[in-house]
Amino acid sequence: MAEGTRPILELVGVNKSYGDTQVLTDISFPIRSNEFITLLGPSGCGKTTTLRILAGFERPDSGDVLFEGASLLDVPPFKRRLNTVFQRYALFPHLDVFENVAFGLRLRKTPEAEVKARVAAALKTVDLDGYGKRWVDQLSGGQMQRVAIARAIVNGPEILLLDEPLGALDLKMRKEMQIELKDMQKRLGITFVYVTHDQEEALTMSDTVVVMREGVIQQVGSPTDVYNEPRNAFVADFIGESNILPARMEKDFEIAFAGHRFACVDRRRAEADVDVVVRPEDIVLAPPVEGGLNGVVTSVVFKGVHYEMIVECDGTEWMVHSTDQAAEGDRAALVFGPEDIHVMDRSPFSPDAHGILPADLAGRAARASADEGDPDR
Amino acid sequence: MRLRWLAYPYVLWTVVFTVAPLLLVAWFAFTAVQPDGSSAFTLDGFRSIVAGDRVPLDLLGLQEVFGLTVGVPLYVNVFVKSLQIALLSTLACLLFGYPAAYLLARRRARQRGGTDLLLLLFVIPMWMNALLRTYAWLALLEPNGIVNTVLAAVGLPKGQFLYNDFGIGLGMVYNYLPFMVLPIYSVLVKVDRSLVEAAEDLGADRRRVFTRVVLPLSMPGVMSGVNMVFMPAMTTFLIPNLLGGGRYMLIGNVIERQYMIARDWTTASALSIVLLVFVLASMRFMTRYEKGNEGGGVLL
Amino acid sequence: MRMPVILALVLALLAALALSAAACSAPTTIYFYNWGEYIAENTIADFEKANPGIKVSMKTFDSNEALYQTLESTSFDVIVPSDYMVARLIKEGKLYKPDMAAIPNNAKYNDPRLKAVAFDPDPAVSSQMFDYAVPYLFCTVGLIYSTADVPAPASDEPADVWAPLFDPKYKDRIGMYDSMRESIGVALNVLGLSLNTVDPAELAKAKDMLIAQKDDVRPIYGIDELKDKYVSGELAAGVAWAGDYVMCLDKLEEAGKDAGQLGFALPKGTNFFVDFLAIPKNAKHPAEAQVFIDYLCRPEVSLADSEYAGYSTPNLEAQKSLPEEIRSNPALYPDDAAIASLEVYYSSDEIDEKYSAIWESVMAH
Repeated sequence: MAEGTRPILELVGVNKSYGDTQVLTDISFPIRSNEFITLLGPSGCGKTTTLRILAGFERPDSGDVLFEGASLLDVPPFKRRLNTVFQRYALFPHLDVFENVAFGLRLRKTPEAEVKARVAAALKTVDLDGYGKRWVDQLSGGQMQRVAIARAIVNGPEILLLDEPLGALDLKMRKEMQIELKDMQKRLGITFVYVTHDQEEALTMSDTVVVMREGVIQQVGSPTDVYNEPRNAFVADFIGESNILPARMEKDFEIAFAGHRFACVDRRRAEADVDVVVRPEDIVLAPPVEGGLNGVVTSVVFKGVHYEMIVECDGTEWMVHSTDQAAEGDRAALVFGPEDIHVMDRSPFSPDAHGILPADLAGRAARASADEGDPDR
Repeated sequence: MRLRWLAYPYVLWTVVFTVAPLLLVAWFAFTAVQPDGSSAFTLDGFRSIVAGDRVPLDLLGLQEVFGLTVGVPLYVNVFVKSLQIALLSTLACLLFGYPAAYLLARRRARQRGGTDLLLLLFVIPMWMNALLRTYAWLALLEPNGIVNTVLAAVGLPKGQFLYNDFGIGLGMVYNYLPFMVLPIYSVLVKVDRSLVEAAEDLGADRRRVFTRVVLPLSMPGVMSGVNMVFMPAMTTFLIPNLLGGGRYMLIGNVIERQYMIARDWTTASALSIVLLVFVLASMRFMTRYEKGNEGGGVLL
Repeated sequence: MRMPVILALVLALLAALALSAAACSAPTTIYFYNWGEYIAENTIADFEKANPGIKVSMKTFDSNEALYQTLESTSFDVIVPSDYMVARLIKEGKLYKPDMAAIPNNAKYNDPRLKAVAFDPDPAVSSQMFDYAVPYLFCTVGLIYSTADVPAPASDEPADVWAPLFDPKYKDRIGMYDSMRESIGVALNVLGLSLNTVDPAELAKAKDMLIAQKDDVRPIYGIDELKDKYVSGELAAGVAWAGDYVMCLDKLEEAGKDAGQLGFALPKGTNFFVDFLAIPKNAKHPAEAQVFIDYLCRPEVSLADSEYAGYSTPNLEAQKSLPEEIRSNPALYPDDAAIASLEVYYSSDEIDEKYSAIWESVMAH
């Protein structure tokens, strides 16, 4: 965990709009040295714009970008000590792999021998030894991605900006590259600022996750924080599968929702309206009991490791993940412990009594569409 | 494969309108009509190209500036003169056309769709007949034309704008500029903006973004622009006919006169063959360095 | 298999019917091959009105050589070759000998002095000219000049008259015909040589003179486009057919300018030429062609054509109706002495080849 180390880069109250559309509102967060920080959010949340402001391709309307305490705003992109890995690689088609990687070094008039050595080292880092003479149009997607990374890291940047670098790869390649990237970040000791719409990718790789929606930061925290302690219904919904319901604190350690009272581990002002989230994997199906949260299994889908089941209780649909299979039509009770109930403040994203989230909330639907590629600008 | 017959009309077209005329020209070049009406093989056509008067070579002011006199056959000199004016016009088209194409492409990128009025202004003259366009220059540049009248009105000396290198060059640049601008423009608008950003990101200032990324990427467009200007500039006879006052002869005019006035089809065809071979060779020379010509250029 | 045969028979039958029907009712069409803008606009229509049985279809050419070429492959009834081309066609046996009794207007009105001109080096050919052809219009070649810029020639000596064309003072303001006989003819005339010389040394002198002129004076070479440049004052002087000079005067008048702006001078020994009306041997309707030729020899018709084309008419009766300043201009209607000094062009393969080679290399310089 990178907490405590000095911030190398910091966004302070950044606002940005295109015409009448406000794309970033009061964006502030620090980026610490050597951390892997991920900007996560659905399409159009402003994560790419934030990255472009860091790279210098966009200028904020107000606010500041501080690099080691000094403003970066008047520093043009080519003078910033950070490099970018672009969404669609942006490799130079008129140059071979070697010259693509050597591009930045040559601009700095690096001696030829050093260019050769550093390019070779960078290609080795991304596992592309011996590919120097290939043309970029002879490479696969994964290879192009590696060249793009080599082209950036060869310059020894202090910060590497990665804009959905794995978005165009297939699932298997993506999983492999996630591990490699994380590994590379640790080895090279570079700060990675990573943009993705894939929450799983974010949780897997990051030290810190910045969850954004419509240009506003929803939560900044470690992957476990944002997963286990989502600050609002949007975060809870976006990070992982979840059952979100309106609730009411009865008193400390006691909460009421779904027509029942439950023990919980939170202390809140009594009579406060809150939201709760219960993760599907925390729910156990048991035989129905009198006074329990009973329902009917309406759908069972096999997901490989577990079954994903929908259980309807009093008009509210609950999602349950379990390795034990139930049959459709079975009656069952939903069982979870006090520590499985996470209490959140109410927000504009709060669900209705049946756990249905507001229609405009870019939750699961947005995530599904974003999986097809994110033209987020 | 089942649709192969669809290609036959094009094959026929090519045979009738390309291959046959070429063969005809070749036939005329190597034969002469005898007094009895029959045709006999001859190399006189090619011989008369290198025979003829010897004149001082008129190349890049060789004679005027350096006082060098290199004697060459008359037609060789005309050929060299045509080559020189064609190259200079192509260069001028490139120098004016590239920035124009660059600006148009930048505007296009900023506007994102819609019709660019400026581009339209570049294209509209191409909808007009070349003859009419060039006559307009006559009216403007004649010794007693509009420009000279204006010059005289403000008390400046009149200029001789027509019937010389300047007039012919101007006519060529004016007529052929769109053929340079459009191919370059169409390549430039396709250059991915992210490549420019990638170059900036890697430390290139605006000048080096241009020299290291944009310019190399636009080379296919430049090459096809150069071809599309150089070829007609090298072979034109219309522009010297209109703007040359009858005294400015390029190789195209010499060929036209040999066919139409002197009626020496053998020499005319021999000149045409030499010109054709030269133009094809220079195009080949220009395209060979292009890896995968993407500019919609002329493939050879 | 049968249908196409039957179809072809039916079509052939129909075509034959159509042809014979046309032959019965339609008037005879004669084909007239003329220079462009060389006949008054109403002449043909008036002729057809006067002769309902004959229609005239006119095509135009722009050089005697083009006429000669076309004649090989196409049949015409009336053609308008210049003198040397008439001689050539006579020599090659390509002209029909008309019945001059059917063209009475020719003997009645046309200037008999023309018969004395040596139109061909061979007197035998020259003497046959008027058996085969009828003079249509004629023209001299002289100097057109802007009276404001160029002083009138001191004499009618060729060197005096043509001097402005070789004077660098008029750089870029001299007009030359892009026509080998006229331009080489000017040089030969200045040098005091025959316009028909084939002597290589003499021709080389003329060529050098024209190349030097191209370098020093930088003339504008052209034909029709020169007229406007004389009228506008862009050109100070040039070689011109008298007919072009007359058309320039018309243009000056149209533009509301003074006709005195342009002068025309005829040097001794310059060229004059006569365009003749003739009937080619392969004519399909020679009888009707004679009717048409006779009509063109009528004084009022000849006058109209002459005024339209700007060329001089050989028709003595028509000349009487000309405006005084035209008729009395010795450049347009030369007196006996002038006519005696003028030289016509001869044509032969040798002349064609030599002059063409010279002219093409002058132009390519």
